[in-house]
Amino acid sequence: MKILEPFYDAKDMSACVTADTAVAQLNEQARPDALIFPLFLDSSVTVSKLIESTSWTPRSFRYGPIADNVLGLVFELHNGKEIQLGGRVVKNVTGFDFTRFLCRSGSRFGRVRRAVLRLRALSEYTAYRSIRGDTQMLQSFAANFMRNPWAAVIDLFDMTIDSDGAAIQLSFGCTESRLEQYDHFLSNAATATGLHFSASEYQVPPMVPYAAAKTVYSRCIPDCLRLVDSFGGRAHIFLGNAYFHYQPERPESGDPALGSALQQLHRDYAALGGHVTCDDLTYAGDTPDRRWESEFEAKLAALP
Amino acid sequence: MSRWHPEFVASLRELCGEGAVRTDDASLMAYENDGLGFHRYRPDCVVIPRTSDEVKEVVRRCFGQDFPYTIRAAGTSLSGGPVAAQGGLIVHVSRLRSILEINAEDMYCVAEPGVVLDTLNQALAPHGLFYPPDPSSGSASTIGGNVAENAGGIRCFRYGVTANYVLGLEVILPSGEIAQLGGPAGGLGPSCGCDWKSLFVGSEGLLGVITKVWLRLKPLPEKIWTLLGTYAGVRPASETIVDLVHHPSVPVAIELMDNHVVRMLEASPMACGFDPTCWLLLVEVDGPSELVDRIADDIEEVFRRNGAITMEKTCDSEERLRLWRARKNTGGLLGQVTPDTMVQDACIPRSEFGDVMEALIAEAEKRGIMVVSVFHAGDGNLHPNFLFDGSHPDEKKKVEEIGTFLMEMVVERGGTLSGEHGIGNDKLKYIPLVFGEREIAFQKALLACFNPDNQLNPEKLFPHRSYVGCCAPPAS
Repeated sequence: MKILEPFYDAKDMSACVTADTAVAQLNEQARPDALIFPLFLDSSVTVSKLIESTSWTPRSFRYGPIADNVLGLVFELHNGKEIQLGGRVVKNVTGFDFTRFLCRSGSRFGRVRRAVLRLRALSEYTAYRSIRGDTQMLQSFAANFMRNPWAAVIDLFDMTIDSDGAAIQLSFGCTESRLEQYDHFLSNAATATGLHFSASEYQVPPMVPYAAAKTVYSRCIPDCLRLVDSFGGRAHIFLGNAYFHYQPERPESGDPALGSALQQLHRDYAALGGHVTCDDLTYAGDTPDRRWESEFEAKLAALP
Repeated sequence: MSRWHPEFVASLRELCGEGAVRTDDASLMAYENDGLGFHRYRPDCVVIPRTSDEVKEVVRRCFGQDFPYTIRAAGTSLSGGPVAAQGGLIVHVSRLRSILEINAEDMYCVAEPGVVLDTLNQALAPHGLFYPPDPSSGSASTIGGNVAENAGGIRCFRYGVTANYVLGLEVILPSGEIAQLGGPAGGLGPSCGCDWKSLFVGSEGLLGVITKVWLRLKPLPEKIWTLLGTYAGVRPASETIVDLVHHPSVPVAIELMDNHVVRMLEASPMACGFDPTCWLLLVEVDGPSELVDRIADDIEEVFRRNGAITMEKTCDSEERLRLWRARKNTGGLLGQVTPDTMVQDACIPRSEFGDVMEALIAEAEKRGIMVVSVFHAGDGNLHPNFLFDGSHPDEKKKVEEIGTFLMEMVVERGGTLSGEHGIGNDKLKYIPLVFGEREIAFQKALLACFNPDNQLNPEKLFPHRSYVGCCAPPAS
């Protein structure tokens, strides 16, 4: 067995980093080779914290969830034993896909010690744009844009909703010479539907919000509008991933009506194979996956 | 009356109909092997249910019986996966071929396991959507088989593999329990439960029976360019590949054919008019019309910079097919020029590509076996085809020896045993190259939860996984 030791391979676009490496550190090393690990919310966060605490980041619109970009893991089980899963190649069907499973299981079965990350080509220029206007128009624009061929060349496609209204935020990478083409299309598409297109700063959502939810596209915007309308605060939707963060105006108040609204959303989303994650919610029920989790943990504990 | 478990066969006939249960030699022979064709195992019985309810009932009735069973769809896999390695029953699910839902608004569809890949994409096209993974068996292979093997294909470089598109699964466990894992919203994340569906994708039919699949869809590209470059050798071709992989525009496909394949092709009635001594690189880019025209120009410049001898590019759909013809015809051509072919699958870091190819060709030449390669170069996914005559035992042995040489070299250089074909029973012996005892025990702990006595699809994925009877302890 070939042990995964830390490495950085610019030619093959991959790097094996220790759990305590910050994403920013890796990207500093990769930048001179025009490479980047594009998935992060706060680049000062360590790779293990990133993997354990979230599945989706703004650039998951283009590059998929974090688990899709982790090629291999050295993982410490709760009994202190280290195991190695996956590897360093971009396609790998040798054995069960435990790399993906463990990346999406938080720290239930142990913790990441080293991770092999897939790096991506860094564009010459990264542009941030926003589209503002009537909320209904924005909703319609978002739904249409998701099915537009241009969606394939956009890195980030988010919507924010707060008491000031809604805005779409997007980002793309290109050469400076192609910038005009992107802006031409996006500006025309926005103004044709009565919306306003402009250059903007991107406001990164919090790493750990009050509530995070995974659902289907068509539920995201209406449900976030209702939450902001009823409880104030701000929603940040990763539109392409049908995932959103919600931060109420006063999370510390423990508003029972908010708890009840989120609990209902969780029930709705769970029926679709999604969820709402919030420390203030209770997750009841003897679902098969919870039973499997216990059985698997027991088997692991019995391993020599 | 069948000699194999006559009462069980009768109960299957009662459940699924007389014609849906086969025990005659002529029928069973068709299930002896998959697309690999290297090893053959005859099942004792085949049942072909019509509905998922029938599948559920068949699985329920198998529980506690004293024979193994294996799930099979189109059987196009290339690793000896859906074969009855210890005999027993094959449950053939190809008749479960309904597309249950196409949800254009939320960009997903729901399909039964027997839906053929190309049929699905034909149904999606009017909605302006497509399902990207595209193994070359797409005209025959099914969604269920693709999920079980985590299939890839030509478009993987840009679009990824099956695992990137599975939102949810309905599965029947060997115990008969039915579970839904994920759904249109795509399953759970780290803060709320575990993503069990990710373990079922690529599990080669060892954990349960897939009866329904939720798949994420993508918008159809507006315009596609295909580019073809010819090269004098593997080195300039591999340098081009490294440059293409680093290109921010991310091509859809980067495919390489070696000079042996091109020579064979040009000597055949399928000749395409290429220099028979060249290596051939095919690249596809897609996207919005305004943008992709200029990306195609960029790719052409990458070809030129790395010493391409000739270049062609086209966005005309007929012409694109002509450029792809050489690649697509290869499978059929190999079948005509050699009594037997054995295709291997391995994945290597792309930086190792030139060295591995040269070493493999030298090893095959040393042993007098011809090896030709047509593969997904952008992913580092090798597919060497060994041409031999299986009626000569010595040749089969040589092919196995070269296979071992390849796998040892691939793992030594940081690669893995399979990029998309799976392990099946063909590569069991190589598993210890990749996993230590602890890693194998860890993965078998999962099997102990779902398929404790290996009744479902034994002798696959991990060595020493024999079925020894439902009431007996496992062999390993």
